Amino acid sequence: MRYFCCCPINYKSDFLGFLFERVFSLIIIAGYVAAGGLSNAWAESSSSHEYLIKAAFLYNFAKFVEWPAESFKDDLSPLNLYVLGEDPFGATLDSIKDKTIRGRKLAIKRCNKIEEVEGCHILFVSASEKGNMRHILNALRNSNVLTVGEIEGFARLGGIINFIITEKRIHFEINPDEAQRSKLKISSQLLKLAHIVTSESRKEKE
Amino acid sequence: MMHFFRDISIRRKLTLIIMLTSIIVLFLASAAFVINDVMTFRSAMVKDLSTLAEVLGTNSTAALTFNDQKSAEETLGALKAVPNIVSASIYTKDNQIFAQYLRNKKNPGSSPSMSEMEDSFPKGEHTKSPEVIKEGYIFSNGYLHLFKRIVLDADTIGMLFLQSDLEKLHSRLRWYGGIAAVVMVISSLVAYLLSLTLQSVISKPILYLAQTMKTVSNEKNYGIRVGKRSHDELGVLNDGFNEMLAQIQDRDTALLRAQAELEKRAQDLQKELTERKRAEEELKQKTDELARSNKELEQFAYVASHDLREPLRMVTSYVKLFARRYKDKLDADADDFINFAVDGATRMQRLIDGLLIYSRVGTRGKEFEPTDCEMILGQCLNNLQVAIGERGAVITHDPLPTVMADHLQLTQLFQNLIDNAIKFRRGEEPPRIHISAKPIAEFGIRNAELNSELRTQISELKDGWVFSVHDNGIGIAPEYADRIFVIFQRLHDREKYPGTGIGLAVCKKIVERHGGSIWVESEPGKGATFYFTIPAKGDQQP
Repeated sequence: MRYFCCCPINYKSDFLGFLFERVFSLIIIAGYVAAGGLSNAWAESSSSHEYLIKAAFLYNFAKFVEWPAESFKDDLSPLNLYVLGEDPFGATLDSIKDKTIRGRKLAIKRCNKIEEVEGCHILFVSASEKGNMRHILNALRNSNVLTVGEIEGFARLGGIINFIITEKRIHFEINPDEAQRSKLKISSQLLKLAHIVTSESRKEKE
Repeated sequence: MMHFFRDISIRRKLTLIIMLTSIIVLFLASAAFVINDVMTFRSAMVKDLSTLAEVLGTNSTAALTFNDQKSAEETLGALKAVPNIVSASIYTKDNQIFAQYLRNKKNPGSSPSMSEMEDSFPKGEHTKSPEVIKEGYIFSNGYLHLFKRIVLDADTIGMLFLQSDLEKLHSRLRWYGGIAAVVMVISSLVAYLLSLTLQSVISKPILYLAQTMKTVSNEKNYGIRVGKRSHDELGVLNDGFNEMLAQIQDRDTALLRAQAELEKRAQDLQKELTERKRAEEELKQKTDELARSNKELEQFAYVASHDLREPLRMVTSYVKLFARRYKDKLDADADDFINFAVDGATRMQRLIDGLLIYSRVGTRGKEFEPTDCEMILGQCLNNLQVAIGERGAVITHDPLPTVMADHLQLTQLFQNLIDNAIKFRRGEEPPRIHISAKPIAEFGIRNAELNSELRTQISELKDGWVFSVHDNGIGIAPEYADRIFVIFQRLHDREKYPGTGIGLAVCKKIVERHGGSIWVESEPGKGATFYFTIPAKGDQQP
């Protein structure tokens, strides 16, 4: 991140330019994460690029969401990001490990069953869990967990954020009702960027 | 300019000074106010813009984070409500324009890339670490440019750039300029009106003083005084002026008095001078008259004696003839009578001769020429050899000089003096006569009895000779020392020492004609010394 942001400024220097070339490949992922994805259009070119961006989004969501204080043990306890099911990120996710969000470290954990999820703040539900989706969402209802999915209808069915791809770009849906139910405060800015969806169950009720 | 200022009236000067001072002060004050206001306004503008940027930046964090350009542009689009914003841009971390807003879309404003702006960005937070993108503001080309970091969770995720025009500032400046101009004009007018009245406080007394001064110098009236109107420096000036006038007046009076006195004195002097001149003229006239009458007298004496000689010779000749022919033929008494007549006639002839000689000294004198006194003395002795032989006189002399003189008269002089010395011998003792001459400088005046007139005459002759003729004769009593030089004055009985009483008078006249003096030093029975002086130059006297 450091190099990334300073380099354009100092790019005038050939030496630094050379240095930049060398280190670029090593830290490119970290850079993507920090920048929040340079171009969403890369997503379509390859699956790895798509998850690069999604990983960055996951990290950035944390910045625009506020958890209730009681969801943390204390001020120093980490923000836990869990991946449920088959991990599509691979090593990509590890690069955002140990980053801090509002003073809290980001802790990453992978699990296969919803029962293993404990003390989680952000839960990424992998596409592999499509079948268990309802079960998972029911289990997490009223649990202060920001659920993020990449399955169509995830948000409508009780998830809070869902990645979608429109016009060959990665976007996301947000279900503010579910967020409110989970006592999570989502920044209006984030909401502004999202496709707002409402719960199907609620519609049914209405 | 300075020259012009120097020559204008003090009234105008004061007005000008007051006006100039007020206008300059007013101008400076207005300028200070305007500058202060502009500065304040500018900083307010910066602050407003900064706040706006802050809000915009905060509202753009999510769009930037999630790479949503549309959303960011929507956010910037709200700037339509702020008319002074010309353009706005959001940059990503790597200086790429992420979103842009242009007030006038047809004319794309300058949205500089961040590295471009970097160079022209002197202000802002210069943190030492180069990785932090600089934020700050700059006024340039009639715009205010402002960069603001977009921060999310303590990370700078981008940069917001705002460009605002300065129309508000300019209209404010115009308004202030107009106000200042109006205030200046009105104030100048007021200052002028005020100065017109106020300047008289200073100028009036000065002009009054100047007027008085002019009057004084024109009328030469030093009695004028200026009235004291104030107790300031001008009052002091008035006092000083009055004092000066008083001094001048005093001096003037004193001068006039002195002048009058001087005039009077000059008049007196003039009078005295005229008087003296008149007296002098009178004296000269008298002297001339005297000289003329003297000359007439001499002429008369000469003519008379000359003409008298002829009948006298006839008388003498015939009386002598008568005596020779009728001697012893008449009675004894007749012989006696005839002898008396012959004697008288002879004496008379001698007198007339003497008188003739005397008068000739003045009237028949010759030109002076170098004359050898030795030669003169030789001639005298030759003339007198009969008398010398008769009396057995011994005559000696020192070496004698050559002087400028009438040699006939000089001969007469020596002859008379030697003749006298021989004549007035003591008893039957043979006369011893010594003649000498000394330069005047070597001759000390020994005789205290010499009268002062003579002494000055001698001392005045710086260059000349003193001759002396010393004898061992009967001498002369000092009381007669002057009388012997007067014509017809005789000290002795005619029978004992025959003579006419003319000889020494002739001597005196000759010496005086040569510019010298003659005197005698003697004591009765001890012989006498006759002195006379002859000037070397030979000043001829009439």
